[in-house]
Amino acid sequence: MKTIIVACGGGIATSQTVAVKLENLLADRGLRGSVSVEAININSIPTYIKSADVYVSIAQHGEAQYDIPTFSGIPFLTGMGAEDEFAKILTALGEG
Amino acid sequence: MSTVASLLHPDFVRVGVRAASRDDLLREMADQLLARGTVEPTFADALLAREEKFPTGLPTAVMPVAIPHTDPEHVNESFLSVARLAEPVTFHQMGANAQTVEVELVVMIALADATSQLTTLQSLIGMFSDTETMEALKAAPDADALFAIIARTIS
Repeated sequence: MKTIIVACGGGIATSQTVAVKLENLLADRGLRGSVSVEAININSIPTYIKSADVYVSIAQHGEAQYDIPTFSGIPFLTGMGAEDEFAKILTALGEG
Repeated sequence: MSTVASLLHPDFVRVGVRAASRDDLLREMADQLLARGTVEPTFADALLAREEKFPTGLPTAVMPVAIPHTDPEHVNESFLSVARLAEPVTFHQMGANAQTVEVELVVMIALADATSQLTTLQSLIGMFSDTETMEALKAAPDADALFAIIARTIS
């Protein structure tokens, strides 16, 4: 099982919305069973980052850098560029 | 009453709203909620502080939007407050704080519980990427029409 973590600043509502959108996109490709998506508070990243394969960020770019592939969650909020960003995430997961 | 109906109130869905600045706008919208007792007196300051640190402007294909929100502890009763602006107001962009967007539609999300309205939030976010609905929101002649479109979309 691969893991995507999604974090937004402070609250969790935005990251959960993006997480569900990612889950739906994964389901469309039959990957729902092989990739899990977790919405977390930005302060929890250090705890979760070790077991995650991909980090989808909704907080400010450049706030902190992590050693795993990091992508923007914003396209999944605006709809603009969502397919491109999702394709990159799949490639990073080795599912592209 | 359904979940959606309880999140929307005609008084909190307005068109032609004017504001000199982002902070003036957010404070005015917050004060309106406070006057009805749906938020705590701490809501406005918390909202502004959060917007400063984690901005919520989002470019969309039709018109830039903003979704200001803050922590549930400042909210008594969950409501959306929607303002379509007479003139765009500058917000910073979510996830790219250095960039600004000229926002035309503000959807303030005042939730008393961060997770129970998730389906509604998803529908709301989905609305921003739905070009047809966004065109309808932009063209809606009055607040009643705006209210009807949003109610239909997030239900």
